[in-house]
Amino acid sequence: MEQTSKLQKVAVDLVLKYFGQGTAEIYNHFFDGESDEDILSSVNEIMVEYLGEKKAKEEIDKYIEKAGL
Amino acid sequence: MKIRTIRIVFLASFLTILAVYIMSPNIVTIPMQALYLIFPVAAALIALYASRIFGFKSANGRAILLITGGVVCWGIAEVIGFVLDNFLAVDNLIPRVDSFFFLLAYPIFGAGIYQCFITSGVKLKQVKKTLLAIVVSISIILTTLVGYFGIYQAYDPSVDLLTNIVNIGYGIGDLILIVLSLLTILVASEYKGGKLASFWKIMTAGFFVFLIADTLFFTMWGDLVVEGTKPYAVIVEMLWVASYQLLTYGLLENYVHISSVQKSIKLKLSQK
Repeated sequence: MEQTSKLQKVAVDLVLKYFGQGTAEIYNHFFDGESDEDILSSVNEIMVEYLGEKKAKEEIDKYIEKAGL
Repeated sequence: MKIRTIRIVFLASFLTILAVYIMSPNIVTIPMQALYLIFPVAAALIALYASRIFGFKSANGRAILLITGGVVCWGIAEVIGFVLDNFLAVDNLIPRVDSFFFLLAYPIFGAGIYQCFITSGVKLKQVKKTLLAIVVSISIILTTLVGYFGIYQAYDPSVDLLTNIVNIGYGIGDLILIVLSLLTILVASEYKGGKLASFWKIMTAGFFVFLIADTLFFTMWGDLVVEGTKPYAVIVEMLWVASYQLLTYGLLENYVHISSVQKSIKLKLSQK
């Protein structure tokens, strides 16, 4: 559970960085109760569309590493 | 709001004003200037509307808000210029308040693009050498042109210092815009394949079109544009219109994307 909420925070921070506060808040609600796999899949989907595949992977990896996950 | 509809509206409005400019016997009239004014004012209002979706906590959003600030400054400058020229009879007074807002836009754009450059984490060592060579070559050519015509030739020893500062300020502002446009090319390359790349490409195009219009105005056709001589005045004014439209379209397209992301996730949330 601890791990999931940590990943959720990482994902929401990433959404906040690129999509703004409003979008991050909606995603925060959406991620509640979701599995790590689903959170990663959702955040990957919107990041790839917005940042392109290479940059999205780079950003997700960087945030995950920074959070020590 | 669909992107296709926005594109049609933008194209139709551009073609309409182009047709009016071509058919109008005199383009230096108050109604014609008011018609032109629609574009910078619309750009400022749409930019404000589109950028509010981000809030202040988002790094990407802060960059876009600052770009919006620059567009708003240009919009305010155009409105003040219109009023001063047509209703207050101070068209020969330099420096003018509108110059202040025009020039203020440059550092604001600079701050926005610096923010996006930092956010994107572009590493010059990782940028493709061909792209870097193209960017450096373009910057040398444009800097030489603007430096000579916009700064060196803009200096007039017969006028006072403040007037010279304002006159040269436009050239320096354009030089800043060249550097900024080139940085946006690098930023766009960092987001290759993503919607954000498309946004920065459109912004780059908007800045470059503005630069072309400014360079034509300050180097060769300034008097012809002020007098409304065709086709010179039409070309320069339409380039400015196109620039405002590109900046507005870029911000609006980005807004539509973020908005669609929000709608999509809200829908999924409601189905949970």
